[in-house]
Amino acid sequence: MKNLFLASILAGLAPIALAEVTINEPWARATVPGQPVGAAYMKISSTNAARLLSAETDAAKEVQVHTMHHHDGVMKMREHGQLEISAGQTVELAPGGLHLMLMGLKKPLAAGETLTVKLTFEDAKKVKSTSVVSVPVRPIGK
Amino acid sequence: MKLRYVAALLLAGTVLFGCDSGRAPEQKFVSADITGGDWGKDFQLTDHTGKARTLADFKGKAVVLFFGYTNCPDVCPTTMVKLAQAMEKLGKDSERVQVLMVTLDPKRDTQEVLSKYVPAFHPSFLGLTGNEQQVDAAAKEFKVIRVLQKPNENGFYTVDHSGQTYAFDTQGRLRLFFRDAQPVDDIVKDLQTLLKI
Repeated sequence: MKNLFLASILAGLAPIALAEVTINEPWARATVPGQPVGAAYMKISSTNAARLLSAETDAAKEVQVHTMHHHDGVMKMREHGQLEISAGQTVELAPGGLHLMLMGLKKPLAAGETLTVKLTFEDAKKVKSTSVVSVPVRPIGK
Repeated sequence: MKLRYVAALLLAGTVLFGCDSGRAPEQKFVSADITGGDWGKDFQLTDHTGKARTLADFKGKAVVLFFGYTNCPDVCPTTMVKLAQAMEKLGKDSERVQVLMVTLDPKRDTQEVLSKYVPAFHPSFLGLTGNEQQVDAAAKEFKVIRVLQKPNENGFYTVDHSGQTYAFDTQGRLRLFFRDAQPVDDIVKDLQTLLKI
């Protein structure tokens, strides 16, 4: 898919050990009217250890990292808390597992539109960086 | 207990599926044939237009019954879309199929919420809700696992649930168990078979 984007806005002076976060293949699933929540997925990697502190978008009141487990036919969804990205590793947010849960959608997510999601990361030295990600909305089931 | 039951159902499905080599003429379905159980008989719920509903209301149609909730962003809408795709593929036969979604979260999924959500997938689909006791009774009757989780500080909660879908024949007898990952073409084929019974 499209390798969208990476804009790390550096906050503060941290010349060498600053984590460079890369987001690949972001997408969100379209929603229908009456559906209060949506899900966004992406691959997050970082040159140095980093932690996702928060995420926000104009499309929803709140964004949380949630995880899904599927055992013996039972789906369990839980809030994941802060997402840790190890140095050089890629964390994949994908259907059936980790996702950004878009809660309190202001309107349904329409296939073809693009959401802007702002992710705030922190590296081991507590230096924060922000990635602004363009997240295309795909039809449900695609 | 419940988990074991679902596991047994899934196993039964696998075994039946595994035997479907064409040599067993009594095996007509791609998905798990659960005909003849002494459960999954009926429900007393209210549809998204406010009408009281039981299974008997849909006699003459094959009924597809799915349990989910609208605060589920992944499996529930994906299954609903799959059922809508099945309706499209069924063409004229879809007029003899009724898809029902029972919410497992009646507190948030009111009649009003369901009236927006469910028909958005397909205009013929009906959402069903009820009071806590009615929904709980329906889940138990259909061996659906449903565990409401504790709300977070904002009052948001999730519902652990099993994702099976059932199909009934036109006489209202429970016949088939679709896994949540059952391909749409399996569902279409089995519904076509059910409509011929």
